[in-house]
Amino acid sequence: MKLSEENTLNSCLAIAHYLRQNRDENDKNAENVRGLLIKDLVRRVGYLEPADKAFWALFLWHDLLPNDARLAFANSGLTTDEVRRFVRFRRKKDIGIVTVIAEELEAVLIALGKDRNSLPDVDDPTGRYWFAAIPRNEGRPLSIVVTYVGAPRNVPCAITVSQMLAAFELEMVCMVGIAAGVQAKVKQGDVVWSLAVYDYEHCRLELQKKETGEKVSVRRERPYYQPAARQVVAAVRRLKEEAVRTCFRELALRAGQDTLLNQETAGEEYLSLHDGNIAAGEVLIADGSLQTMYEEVDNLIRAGDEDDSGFSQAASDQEIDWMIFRGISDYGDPDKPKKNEWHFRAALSAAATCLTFLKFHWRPRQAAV
Amino acid sequence: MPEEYVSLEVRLGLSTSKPVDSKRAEFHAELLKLLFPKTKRWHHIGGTHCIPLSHHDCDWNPDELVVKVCKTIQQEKVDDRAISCCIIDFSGNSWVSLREVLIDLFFKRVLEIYKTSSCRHLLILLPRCPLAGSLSYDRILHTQAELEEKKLTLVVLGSSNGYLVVSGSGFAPPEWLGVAYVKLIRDLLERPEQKLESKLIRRLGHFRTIDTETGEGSCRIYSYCFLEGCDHEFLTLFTRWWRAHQGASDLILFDLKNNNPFRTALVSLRDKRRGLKVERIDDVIDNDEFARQLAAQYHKCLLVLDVVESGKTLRSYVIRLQDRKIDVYPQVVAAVNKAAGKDSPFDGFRIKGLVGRNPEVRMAVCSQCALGLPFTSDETEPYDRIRAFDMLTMAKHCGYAPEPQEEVPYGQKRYECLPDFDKMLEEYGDWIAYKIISILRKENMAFPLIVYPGEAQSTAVVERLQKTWGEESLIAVRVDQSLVRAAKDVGNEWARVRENPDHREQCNTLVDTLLNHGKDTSSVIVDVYWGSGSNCTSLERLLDYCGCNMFAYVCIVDFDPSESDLTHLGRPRLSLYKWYNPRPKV
Repeated sequence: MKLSEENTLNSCLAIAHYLRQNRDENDKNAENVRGLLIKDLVRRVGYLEPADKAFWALFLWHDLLPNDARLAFANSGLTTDEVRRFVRFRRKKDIGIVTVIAEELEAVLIALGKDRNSLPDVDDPTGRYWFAAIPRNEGRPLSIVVTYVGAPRNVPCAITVSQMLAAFELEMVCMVGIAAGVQAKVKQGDVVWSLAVYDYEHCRLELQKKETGEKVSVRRERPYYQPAARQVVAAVRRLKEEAVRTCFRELALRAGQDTLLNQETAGEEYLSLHDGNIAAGEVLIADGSLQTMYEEVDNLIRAGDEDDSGFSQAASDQEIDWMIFRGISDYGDPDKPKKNEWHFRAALSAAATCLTFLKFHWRPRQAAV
Repeated sequence: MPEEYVSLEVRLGLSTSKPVDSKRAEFHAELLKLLFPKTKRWHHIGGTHCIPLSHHDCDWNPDELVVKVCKTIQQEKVDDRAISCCIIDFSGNSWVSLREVLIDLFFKRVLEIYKTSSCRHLLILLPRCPLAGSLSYDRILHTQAELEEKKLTLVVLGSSNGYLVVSGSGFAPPEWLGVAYVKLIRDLLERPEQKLESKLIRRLGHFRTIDTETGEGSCRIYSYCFLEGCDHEFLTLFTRWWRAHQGASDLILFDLKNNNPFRTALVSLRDKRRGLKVERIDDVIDNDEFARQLAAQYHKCLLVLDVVESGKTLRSYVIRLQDRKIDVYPQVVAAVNKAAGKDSPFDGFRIKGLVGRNPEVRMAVCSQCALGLPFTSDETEPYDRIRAFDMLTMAKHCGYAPEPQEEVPYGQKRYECLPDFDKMLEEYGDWIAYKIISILRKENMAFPLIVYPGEAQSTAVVERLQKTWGEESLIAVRVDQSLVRAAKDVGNEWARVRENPDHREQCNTLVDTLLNHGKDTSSVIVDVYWGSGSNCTSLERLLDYCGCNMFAYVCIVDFDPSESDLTHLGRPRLSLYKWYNPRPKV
């Protein structure tokens, strides 16, 4: 009969915490307790992987030093934190959320009940991370980690996602942000969620001989699709627009942006949900070519941006489920203003959709995180 | 001359006979005064005995109960003269556990009790009076002819639903007997408030509370939950409150995510009262259309919440309901009030708590978040075992101390430093018992036989188990330390222990008890911690000697964990926590 228990790493962290509390007590009883804890910790560490074991060996040695020696150790610039970076010390969270631009990050932080300008909970070479939790009607709260790319395009996004997956053990990652939309199908303020990402940069440049005999370089499209996981798509399909709108209203009030609510047009639904493919490349589309892509390449395309291919490939590479929520801020045409007053509104719509999805329709596989 | 009487209690779940507790003995005396007000004095003859009854007896030998009762009465009576009254008290058991067939066969042979005791009045106290049309009811009525012929009286009293009198002696019960008896037995039995208190478990973990208004979160190390089986107490207490507040509202909105028993009680109340609407508050707040319909029909609602502490959630609900044109009744009912005592004011409202607890100190910085420990659920235990953080929190709070000398197994060296298990059981015993029971229930152990060494700490664990699981469901057999020592002296050969004149009688009683209760059920050895496993080996050998089937050894902490999780004799060794600290060598 096998009884379930927490993982060894978490139990080591807990014992180390109490060892630290006991460290500066000098009576006989405290010494006995210390011995009790260390004996147990050493045994548990034996079950860890070699790199983690190395960290814990250093930790134990470091922690048992007298105070003045430990301080001298810290002054040398080498601390256990530096070693920690080299070991696979991944913290477990349910969901990772990736944002790219400042408005997207602010919208997500507001959705998670944090101040939009709050500093990250972790800011180190592995990345900048904010932690939060989403309460649910049934089951425990979901633990969330949010990260911020800060630069457009697929490669920076892929690097950020990879760093986040190296630092955290996650069940799913979500991208929450804004995008250009296909005007024939969506309107500003709507949200598109991804069935797949269509990477339109994937092409072959070939030399083609023209009638004149001249050889010119042509671009032959090689459609590259990254589909979202079937079970995630099935869960997102259960989203109700009314629930998302209710959430959006609450977030707008929370953000102190009542004016967003005044943009409702009488008789028109102000936030609709659309499933579709998201076209992703290395360029910011402002020439109307998104509409052309929809008409000529794939009539499932609903939005386009420059990060999603990197995001989805980095997640898929680690076999992590993913989903993208994009609020439509413009139509990727020449009329697109450089600074768009719809940016924050669209980001908030996407954040509301993601929040509603996670709160009501997503279940963690793990019994507890 | 005083009238003489004999009183016996029949108790399911006891392993051996024991004296009736003094409160119950006083209750019997009061009952006689109630029934026979003209009798000036009553004299109790013999001792007071609880007759043990096992589930095996109920299922396989139900008609043997009368034989046991008669035998006990014979032992109590000094001589053959008639006595005035005999009381047989079953009221300390639940009706369901007693089984209809047992009661039916008891009444089939009830006349034998008159013959043995030579009594004129026989009082049978049951958890519930048999209902008209049932087998037991018919049996009772069939005694009429013979009782009339012999001028005897039979009175059957139910704890909550009336009484039956069959009298051939002209005995007429007082008119107010039903009401007076209910009051008398309520004073004896645990009140629903007390029962509910005992069913509230305080769990440790890493719990997250989210402010519904701002979305901000804060962490707690404690979470409260009620054990299953207390819906009756919730229904009783809530109905009592409801009756006193008739003008409250016919619309009850509840947030009882982690409280199945209270939810069940509310649904039960709704089914009994026409026009009463009971809905989840989230279903109203998240659905504007539904909220509009309710507002049009009811205007006002009564809020029922699971736990009220800071009041933020309550305030948020009130605002959101008022936005939807639904007012909130100024009294709010909470299963647990952690604000300031059981009943307390808050923001223009009065919180009526069915149970009160002190508010928890919230940490400015959560050390578990700083460690990156995951959250745990308010609804379910995350793991079978206890987390390291929780075990060490309990140990730090309760302190460490050397192992009590009397707990050191014979021939072993003492632990110089262990968590203070006495204090730990006092503070957290309910949760520890809950976790042990959860493990056993997972393996479909319905009525295990618990065998434990007669040390103070092991006894405390078993008492907690019985309190949490219910004494009827858990028969516990204590093995005296002197017998365990004697067994170790002879290499755990219990046959030789039995031969020893110093231990023969005690050992014989023990073996008989195990033989009686251990057939057709699995045995579980329960102890506080595993140091070297010597106690466990002795008890395992005892169970083998008695032919009892052993399921597992269960303890709170295993100080010498192994990969295999087996005892020295190869049976499952289950612990709530593994803590590497083998017993020092001699």
